[in-house]
Amino acid sequence: MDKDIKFFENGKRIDGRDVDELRNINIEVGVFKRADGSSYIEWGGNKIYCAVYGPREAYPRFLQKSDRAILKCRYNMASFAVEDRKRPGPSRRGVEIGKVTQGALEPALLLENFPKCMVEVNIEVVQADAGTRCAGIAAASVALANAGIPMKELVPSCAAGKVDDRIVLDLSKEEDNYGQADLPLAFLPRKNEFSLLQMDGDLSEEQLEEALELGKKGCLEVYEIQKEALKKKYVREDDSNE
Amino acid sequence: MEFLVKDRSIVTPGMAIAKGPFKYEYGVDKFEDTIISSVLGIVYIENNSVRVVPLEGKYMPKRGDDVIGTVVGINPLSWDLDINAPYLANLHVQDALRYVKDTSNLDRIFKVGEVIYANIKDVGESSDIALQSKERPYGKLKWGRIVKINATRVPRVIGKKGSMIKLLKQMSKCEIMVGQNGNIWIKGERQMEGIVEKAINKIDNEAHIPGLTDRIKKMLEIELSK
Repeated sequence: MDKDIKFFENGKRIDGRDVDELRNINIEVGVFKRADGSSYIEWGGNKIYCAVYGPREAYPRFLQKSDRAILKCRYNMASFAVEDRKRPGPSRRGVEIGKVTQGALEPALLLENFPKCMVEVNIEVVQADAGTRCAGIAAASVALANAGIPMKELVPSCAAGKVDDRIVLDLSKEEDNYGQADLPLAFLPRKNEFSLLQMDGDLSEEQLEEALELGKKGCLEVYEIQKEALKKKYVREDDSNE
Repeated sequence: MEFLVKDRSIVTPGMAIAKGPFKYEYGVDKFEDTIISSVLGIVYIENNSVRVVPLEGKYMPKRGDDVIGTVVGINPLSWDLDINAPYLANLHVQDALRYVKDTSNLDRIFKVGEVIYANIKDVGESSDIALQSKERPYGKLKWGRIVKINATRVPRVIGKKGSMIKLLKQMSKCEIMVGQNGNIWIKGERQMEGIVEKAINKIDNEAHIPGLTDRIKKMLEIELSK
């Protein structure tokens, strides 16, 4: 894992960010016509499309729940999204991220309004640059709101990590590859709970506490961006017509 | 009750709207003693109730709604209709016909792909939708074309006290039927049908911007003078 990289220079990180600074995030809402809800997120070098279909009748039939809808999440990375060619098609990693995305989003949705239905979330990574699962969850949450699916709250998400024995927010590609730990988080702001918590690398107990605290702060920043993105879609159209 | 947002502002899911006693209305949810929005929509505050009208979303069937649906399947004694809801609707033979017909072959009465104007008779516990098309305005819609819009935009197509729909009917001389589920049927001269379709799509895209009726009127005038 170790490679001789200088992660900090004059207190700034490789890409010139502070320890607790996010990369640039830009979310667009309603990018696909055929989908019920959709979004496009640019998070640093990540470019991710997300499309939501449903609620519609659950298929295959045996998956139907008589008291609520089911949530199906699919995560896919394009073969040209990473430096080396990624073998196209479903992979172990894709299935895992689909599963944790579902777990992260489900507690925020009011699925009991739609018995026997399913809601499908498709996350398509077109360009990857560390932290795609977090960006995917943030985009999926916005797309679900755009599809008009009732929910308790939006789900913001971002990663924290450890580089050079220091806790940093939102790891970049180099920090992710050669750093010491990566901690993707999804946060439910109103409930004050985490719905996604994974860890790659190792952290001591105190460092974990610190990383969670920093990650929470980052998530709340993402939350504001998500809300702005949703509102912007309607307000901007307002201005252009007057 | 203490309100935290302005009347008619856009709210996102999870946004706090008010504090105080809670009365359930569509589009809102409770968290402790705060009323929060559960959908992306516009908030309407009236006296002591809070309502969020969604900007997006599928049609949720309600008893008594008039809908326009397409036949997608035929069962021994009923038809399955697609009404843009999460579930298929069911039209039973008994509730479908005004007079007795030979019901041995339902395919002879309504074929797959035909369009039916119907009324929602009941929505069951497990969300199964029963339709009826027995009385006068209901039944098969012949000729014309169907325009599909988002169901949340239907009130804008009708307008205040029917002003928008009246305008469309008067200026185009078309027959127009609006289903609560967002399917709109237009019948008239072919060119006129095209113009009305364009106008309805414009309403669908610009539903949330004020001054809609005037803009549609202007657009129709320009189109008609061509």
